[in-house]
Amino acid sequence: MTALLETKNLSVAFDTPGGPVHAVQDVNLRIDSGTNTGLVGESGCGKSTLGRAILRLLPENARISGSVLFNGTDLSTLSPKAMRDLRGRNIAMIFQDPMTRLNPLMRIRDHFIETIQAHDPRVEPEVAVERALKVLADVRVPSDRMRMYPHELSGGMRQRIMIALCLLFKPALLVADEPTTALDVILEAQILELLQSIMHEYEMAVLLITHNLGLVAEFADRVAVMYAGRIAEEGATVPLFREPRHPYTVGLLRSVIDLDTTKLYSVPGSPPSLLGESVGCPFYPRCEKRMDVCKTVFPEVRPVGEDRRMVECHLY
Amino acid sequence: MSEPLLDVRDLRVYFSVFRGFVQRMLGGGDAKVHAVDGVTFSIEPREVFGLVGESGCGKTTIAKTLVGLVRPTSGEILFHGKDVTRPNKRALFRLREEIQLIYQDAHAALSPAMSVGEAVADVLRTHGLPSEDGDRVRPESEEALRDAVYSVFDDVGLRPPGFFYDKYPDQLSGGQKQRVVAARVIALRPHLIVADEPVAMLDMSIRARILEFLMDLKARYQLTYLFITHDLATAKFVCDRIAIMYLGRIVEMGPSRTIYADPKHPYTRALLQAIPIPNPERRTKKVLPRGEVPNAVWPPAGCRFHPRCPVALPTCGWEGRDFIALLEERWLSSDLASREAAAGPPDAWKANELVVRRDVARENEKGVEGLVKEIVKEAGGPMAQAVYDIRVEDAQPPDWVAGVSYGLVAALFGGALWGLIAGFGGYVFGIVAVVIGWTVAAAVRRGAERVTPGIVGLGVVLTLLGVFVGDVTGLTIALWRLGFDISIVNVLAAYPIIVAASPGQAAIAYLFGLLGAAVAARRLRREMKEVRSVVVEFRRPDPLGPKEVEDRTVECLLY
Repeated sequence: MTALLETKNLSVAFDTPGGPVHAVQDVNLRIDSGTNTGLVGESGCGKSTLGRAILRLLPENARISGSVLFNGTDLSTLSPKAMRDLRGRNIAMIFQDPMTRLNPLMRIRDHFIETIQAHDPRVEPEVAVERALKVLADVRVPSDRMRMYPHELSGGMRQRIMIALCLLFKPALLVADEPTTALDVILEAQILELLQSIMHEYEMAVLLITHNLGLVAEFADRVAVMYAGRIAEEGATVPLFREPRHPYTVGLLRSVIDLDTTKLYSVPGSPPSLLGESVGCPFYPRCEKRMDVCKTVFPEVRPVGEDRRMVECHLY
Repeated sequence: MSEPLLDVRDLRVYFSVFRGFVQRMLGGGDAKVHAVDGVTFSIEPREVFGLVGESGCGKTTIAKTLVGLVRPTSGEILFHGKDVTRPNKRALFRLREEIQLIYQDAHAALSPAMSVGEAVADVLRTHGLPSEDGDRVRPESEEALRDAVYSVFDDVGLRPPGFFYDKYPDQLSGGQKQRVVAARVIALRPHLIVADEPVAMLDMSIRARILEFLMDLKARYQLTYLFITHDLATAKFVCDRIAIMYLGRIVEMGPSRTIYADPKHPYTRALLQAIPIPNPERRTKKVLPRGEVPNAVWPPAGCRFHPRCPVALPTCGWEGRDFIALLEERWLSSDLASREAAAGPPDAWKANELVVRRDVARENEKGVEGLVKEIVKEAGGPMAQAVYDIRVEDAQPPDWVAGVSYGLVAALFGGALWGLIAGFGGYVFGIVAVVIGWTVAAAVRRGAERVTPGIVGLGVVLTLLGVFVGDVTGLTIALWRLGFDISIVNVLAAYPIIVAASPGQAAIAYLFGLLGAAVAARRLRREMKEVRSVVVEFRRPDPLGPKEVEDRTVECLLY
C-alpha cells in the first residue's frame, strides 16, 4: 500500500542576512490514508515549517531539498498551477488564528463561493451555496451564519467555518497547524471531536501540528516528536507514550503539567540556534544521557521495536 | 492575622459598547459588556489564590481593576482593610508599590527602547528604594541604584547581573524576560502580586522552571499571589484556593485540593473533563457542554451556564432565547422538506426575556401553535418543563416611537444635506418625504393587526410633518449659504410668507410626500393580512446566589 504522503530527506533552510537557518532537516515522514498523525514539538522546532513545506506554502527565501510525495507523485515536479489545484482539492490546511485567515470584508457566503470558484470557475453561485450549506451542516454551523461577516462570529464558529472551507473538495489529507491553540479548553475539545467525526465521514487523513501533548495523546494514531528541525522520535501513540525512547521525548513528557502532576520538572537549557551548520546531536547540551559520540557524530535513524518506531539517538 | 490582605465585595465592571445613533433609537439603549458582574472573594496573606476560567470570563478585567488600570463600576475593594476602590492619583501611586502585576506577554511588558537593567532602575528611581522599616528611600546615587538592580537581578537568577543589566529585551529568551518582569516587580517589595497567565506563552519544557521560580520568590519575600489562568492543571499545582469564573461571576470557590478531587459545579466538571490528558491509554468519552461562551453584553438569565449545562434544571433560567437556540439546532439537522416543520426559520422569532414570539398570518396560527407544542414536547428536558404557556395572541403594536423618530431624523438630515449641497429645500424634500412614508409604513407593518384609518392618518400627518421640518431646515441652510444672517426661528416665522412666495414649489414638495404616504398605505393595505403572534412563555427562574456547600461556595441550584 503506497503511503498517502511521504517525505524523503526533506529539508528547509531559510536564507537570512545572518546565514542559512536550517528550520527542517532530513525529515522522513509517512502518513497513510485515513490515519491521524500528531506532529508535536515546542516553539521553533520546525513543525509549522514542515507543515507548510508539504503544501509548498513557504516564503521566497526558503530553500527546499529532498522530496514530498503525494500518492506517489513528487510535488516538486508539479507546475505552480498544478500545485495550486492540488492544494485545496487534495491537501487542505487550517491554521491557528481563523480571524486572520478569513477576509473581514466578505460575508461567509462569499468565502465559500470564492473558494469553490477558484478551483471550478464554471460553478454557479447558487450551486456553490448549496454545497456550502451541506458542509456547514457537517460542522454544525447554522445556515444563518452565511450572510454574516467574520467579525460577527465567535472564535469557535470561525474555526468551524475554516474547517468547512477545507472540506468542500473532500481532500485526502488535512494539515491542521495548531488549530485550537487560540481556543479555550472546552472549545478545543469540541473542535477535536468534530475533526474526529469528520475524519471518519470523509475518510480523510489528518496531520495535527501542535505543542500540546495531551491533544496528541487523545487524538493521534501515530506521533512524531520534533526537535531542532529533526524528527527525534516517531511511532504509534500508545507505545511511544508508554515507553518513550529519545531523551528529549522523555524530558518533554515529564515536563507536562497535568492534573496528576505532583512534582514539577523542566528540561534544562534551551533549544539550539538553527543558524548555520551544526555537528552532532542537537539535543546534546541538554541531554541527561549524553555520551561523547553524541557531540560530534550525528545519530542515524534507528528502528526500535515494531510498527515503524524510529529514534534518532546513539543510545540505540 | 485574621484580616484578609485583599477583600473584594460585589465588584462589578461594565464597559459601554458604542452603538450608532440610529441603532440606539431603534431600541436597546446603551449596551454594556458585563465583564465582571458581582464578584466577591478575599485573599489571605501568603496564600496563592487562583482565578480560573476561559477567556471572556472576567478574570483579566479583575486583574486590571486591582492594579488601577480599569475603574470599577460598583462594589468595593479593600486592601489591608483600607478602601482602594477608586484611588486618586496619589493613592494609586502608593498602591502600585504594594500591588503589582505580572502578565502573560513578558515581551510586551518591557520597553524595547530600554535595557532591562534601566527598566528596573527606572522603577526604583520613581518609587524609591524599599528600606527596612517599610518606607521608601531616595537612592543616594546612580551607583546605589545600580547596586540595587544588581541585587534584585541576582535574586531572580539573572546571573551575572552585570551581564544582564545592559541587555535589551529582544536579546533575551522568553523565560529570561519573564524573570526581568519579576525583578521589576519584586524590586518594589509588593505585598500582593497579580500574575495573569505568567507561563501561558512559555514552552512546556520551561514552564515548570518559571513556576518554581515564582513559588521560590513567594517564600523568600513573603508574597501573596493572585494567580490567574485558564490552565486548570497549572492552577491545581500552584494554588491553595481557587475560584472558577464563568461570564463575569464566580461559580465555585474553595480549597484547591478538594475542588479538584470533588468538583461540584457542572461547569467546573466540564472544564476538568475537557482537559486533554497526555496518556493515550486513558482516552475517555467526554460529555462536553453544548455551544460556546455567550455574549457578555446580554448574558443568559438566571444561571449563566444553563443553556450549556448538561444537568440543568427547569428553574435554572430558561428564557425566550433558549427556545430560539433549540430551533437553530433543529434547523441544522432537518432536511429541506421538513425545515418548514421546524416552525419557521429561527430569525423569525423575537425573544424578550421570558417570552419569545413569532408573527404568523391568521390562517396559519393554529398550525404553527401546534407545531411549537410538538417541538417543545419532543425536545423534552428541563427547558420543556420550564415552559409556562404556549398560546396565540394579537400581534404587538409596532415600534411607534422608533419609527417616528427615525422618520423625523431622516427628514432633518435629508433636508440639511440637501440644503448644504444645493441650497434648496423643495423637491428633494418631497422625495425625502416619500422615504419617510415608507419608513412609517414599514414600522407599522412590523406588527399591526389591521391597517386602520387611524394608522393611515398618522402616516399622513407624520409625512407632512417630515416635509415641513425638512423644508424649514433646508431653507435655513440655503439662505445661510447665500449669505443671509438668518436663524431657524426666523425661517419658521417667515415660512408662510416663503410658501406664499413660491407656492408651486412648496405644493410639489408636499404633494410628493403625500403621494409617497398614500402609496405606502395602499400597498400595506393590500399586502397586509391580519397578523397574529404565537407566543412561548417561560416560568420565572429561581433566584440564584453563592451558597456554602461543605468547604466552599457554589453558585448552582443543584445545591
